[in-house]
Amino acid sequence: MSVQESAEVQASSNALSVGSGQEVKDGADLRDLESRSKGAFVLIFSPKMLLIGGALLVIGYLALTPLLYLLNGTFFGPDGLTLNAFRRAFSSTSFGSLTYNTLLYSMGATAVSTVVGTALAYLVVRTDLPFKKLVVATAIVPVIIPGILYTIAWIFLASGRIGILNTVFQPIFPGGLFEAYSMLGMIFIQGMDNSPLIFLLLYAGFKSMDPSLEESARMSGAGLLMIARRITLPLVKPSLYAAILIMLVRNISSFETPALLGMPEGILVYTSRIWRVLNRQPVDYAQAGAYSFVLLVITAVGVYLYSRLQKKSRSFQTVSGKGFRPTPMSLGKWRTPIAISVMAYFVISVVLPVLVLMYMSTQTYYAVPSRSSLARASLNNYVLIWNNPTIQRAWQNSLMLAAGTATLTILLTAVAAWFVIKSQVRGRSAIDTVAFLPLVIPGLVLGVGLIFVYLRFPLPVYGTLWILLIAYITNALPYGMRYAGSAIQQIGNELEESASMCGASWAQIFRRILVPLMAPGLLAGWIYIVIISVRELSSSILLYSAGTEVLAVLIWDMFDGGRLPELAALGMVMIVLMTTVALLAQKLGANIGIQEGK
Amino acid sequence: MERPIFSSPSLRIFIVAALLLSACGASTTASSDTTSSQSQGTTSDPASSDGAAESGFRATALIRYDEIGRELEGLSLEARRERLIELAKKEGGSVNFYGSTNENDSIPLVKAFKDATGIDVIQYRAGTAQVGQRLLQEAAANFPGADVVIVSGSDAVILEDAGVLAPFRSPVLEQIAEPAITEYWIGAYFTATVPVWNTDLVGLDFNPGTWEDVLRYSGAKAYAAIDAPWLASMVNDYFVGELGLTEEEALQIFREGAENASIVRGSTVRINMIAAGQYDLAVSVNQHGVAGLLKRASDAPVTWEPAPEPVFLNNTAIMLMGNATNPAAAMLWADFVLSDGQFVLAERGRTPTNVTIEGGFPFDKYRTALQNPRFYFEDAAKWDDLWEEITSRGTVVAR
Repeated sequence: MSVQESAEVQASSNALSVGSGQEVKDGADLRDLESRSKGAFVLIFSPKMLLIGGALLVIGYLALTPLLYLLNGTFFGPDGLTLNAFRRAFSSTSFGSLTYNTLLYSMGATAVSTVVGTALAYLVVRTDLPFKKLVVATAIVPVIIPGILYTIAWIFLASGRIGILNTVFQPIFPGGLFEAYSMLGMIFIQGMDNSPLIFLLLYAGFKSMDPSLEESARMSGAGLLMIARRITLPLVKPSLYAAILIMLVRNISSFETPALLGMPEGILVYTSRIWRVLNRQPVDYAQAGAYSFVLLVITAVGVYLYSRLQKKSRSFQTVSGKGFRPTPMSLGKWRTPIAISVMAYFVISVVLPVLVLMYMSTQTYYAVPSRSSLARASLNNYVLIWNNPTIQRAWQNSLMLAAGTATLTILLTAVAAWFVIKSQVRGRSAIDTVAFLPLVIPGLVLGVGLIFVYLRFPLPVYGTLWILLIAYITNALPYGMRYAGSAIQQIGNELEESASMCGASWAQIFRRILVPLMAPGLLAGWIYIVIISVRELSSSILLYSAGTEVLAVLIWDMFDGGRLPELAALGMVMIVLMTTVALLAQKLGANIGIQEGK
Repeated sequence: MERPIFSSPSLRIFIVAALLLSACGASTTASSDTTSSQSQGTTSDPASSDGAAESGFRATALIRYDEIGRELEGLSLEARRERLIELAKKEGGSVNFYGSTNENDSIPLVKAFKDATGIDVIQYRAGTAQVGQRLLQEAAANFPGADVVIVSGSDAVILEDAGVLAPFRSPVLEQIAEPAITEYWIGAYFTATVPVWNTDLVGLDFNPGTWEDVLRYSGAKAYAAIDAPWLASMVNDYFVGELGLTEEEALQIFREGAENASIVRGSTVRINMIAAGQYDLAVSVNQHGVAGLLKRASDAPVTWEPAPEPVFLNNTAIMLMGNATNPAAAMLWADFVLSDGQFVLAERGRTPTNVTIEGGFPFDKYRTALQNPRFYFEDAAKWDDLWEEITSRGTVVAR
């Protein structure tokens, strides 16, 4: 029997045993229901059902409100149902080229992020790559840097005219090596910016993987590539597909890169069109809604394909009752070249942009670095942002909101994801779909919808941090579901079942078995949500009020006001502080999650 | 097994959602129409504006404005300020201000006001269109958010037409340049639109020539992503009005110029990109943005002089909200911005509308013309479409 065959047999026997476990559980549920059918009241009002029901209600409310608002605004005119908005939307702009540009850009960037992020996560978690700690510490930096700044840093690195890299490489490539202002530039820069998100998603996936399969393959003589292709990737498929889907949708709805790099050269995507429409007078919300609806349809197609893929591929529960201590695989002779490539990646994606920002933060205006510009360097911008009362307040608001959003979303989605994956209730997958909806609703539309609802809401939500919290949780729901879902999926039913056999209540099982086992996944999700919440711009920009300014809005404001150097200084402070937060969280998480094998 | 996301139960959810939607369509549509017709800023929807006028906060505020106005009649500017401070303190000692002036300039303005009057300014700052839209949304929900507002002329027109403003009268208006005064909004400062170029790239003695030359400049240049009001004035008042071209001929100059231009959003972003050397020249930026950069960094390789004539000026206006909860404080703030506040603005490179205060744009050196926001606004869709067509160069292609 060849290596991969033996591994596959093992994997499928694993899947088989899961299947039979499921049947046992079904039977247990049935008996459970029968025995309690007399006390249906007790069943419905049990703490478990209340908790789950509450979580589902909240998710449904948060996700459906903006969607209904969007559909209503787009399809209903003064005279009832109408498609006029679409006529207006596509009379001036070609549907084909917008869709083509949007798909090319978002798929390209997704491919870049997926390849880079997955490779990195695998190398860090599953191999003996050197300087892993450094990689983990810096991997998330690109995503901490505000998107606008990351893109600007890349303009100054790779613009055909003033890019530092082009100047440096001019003797070798006189025609210029890079051009940031192009479709390729957009794809590369957006892909680099987002690869840490894939890294985070798959980091958890690889971490909770039972390595015995890989080990047996290796013992049977399989090479590194074969193991990755035949064993490792199939095992993390659920996480990987989810990550790709999230990334695709994120890229479809991203605005900064298309606005800064595409628009100058006439490369328009849907989001740049929406921005333009929202800047016209009078604002045609219905037309913006029509574009959003097309995005929604594109995304729905993506989601559908994703579910087909998911169905076709077997997924495996990899956290079983067997104890495992992940031991890293040896990269062998590849260790040095791979280590060098990883380092090169870090120089390109982290070191260079951060150096440009650092340089810019010491200047009064950006000029291509020269002896005289370096001589002008000062720390004035740091003093300016330190003394700015709005920035101080924005820090507080942003951190409070981000931590609150991440904690509440993770709690909410952990319960909901358990319900979707482990319960046997009919129609449970609808919750998954509903929780996914916010991903396809552009932030601007979410903002407009929430303003409309909460200006008329009896409780004082409008104009406070609460409205931002509602927007952020809505925005984070899909990510929470993916992280919690991937984390729960990998946990074998046998663990819950044995606990249940020993007389543990559902709450006890949830707290003592599921949560600790899910911890690495949930924690990655928490960090991720903190980061995207701090970055969230498109709905915040409509929802903040006097006193509830958040960092992302100030960053946009400083950018719009041309205060790039000050902005760079703020970006530097954010990088240092947020990296520290992420590292602390990881440290803490290591203690509550599964202990790493030593 | 992962549960498929898009299985049949979820389709059912969609259908239910659609049904719900059509069921509640009637009520929500009605209210969202109010928003949209208000945001269209036409007077064709009396229900929204007049309805609001009769009710709640708005009625109270308008009566209060009248009372205060009568009480202040005949007072000198100084005495008026003292009385307004007293009244503002009785209201609660603060004013809710929504404004589009950037933070660098609004923070000193707010600080000077607080030092002079002891009244707090609670400030919401955002882009001008966004401030305008927010005010309309709040008015539609009868929510009193702002007492006093600063936005650009074209947004002021929208707010005026939506009927959410209160008229402003004050002895300070005697010092304000006449074209900056309307019944509901008063120019707080002028913004001049000029080209800017990088002197390292094109040479210190570069002269851009006429507007036609600027638009057709053959080197690397940047057009604004959104500049329809300026386009309207340039075409109508200059190319057609002064040079006698047809509208089509004028537009052709813009189109040809845009063929080799990059389209860059944000005036200050364009100025920064010119300083960085990404482009030689940007055809339209705010003059005070260039002046501000040169003030912070006198060695920055940018200049806007000599500018082609005429230089078009735009009003950025201050106005009172008809549903203010602090009307006296709002009047106090408006008085201040148009008098002592003008020094602060001039110091920051802005062009005051108060003729007794010097600074900002050098009116003695250039022939200027005031943009008429109403001219643009009455045909906004046309000018927006034209600018879009010009800057998309007729093609949207991937490269």
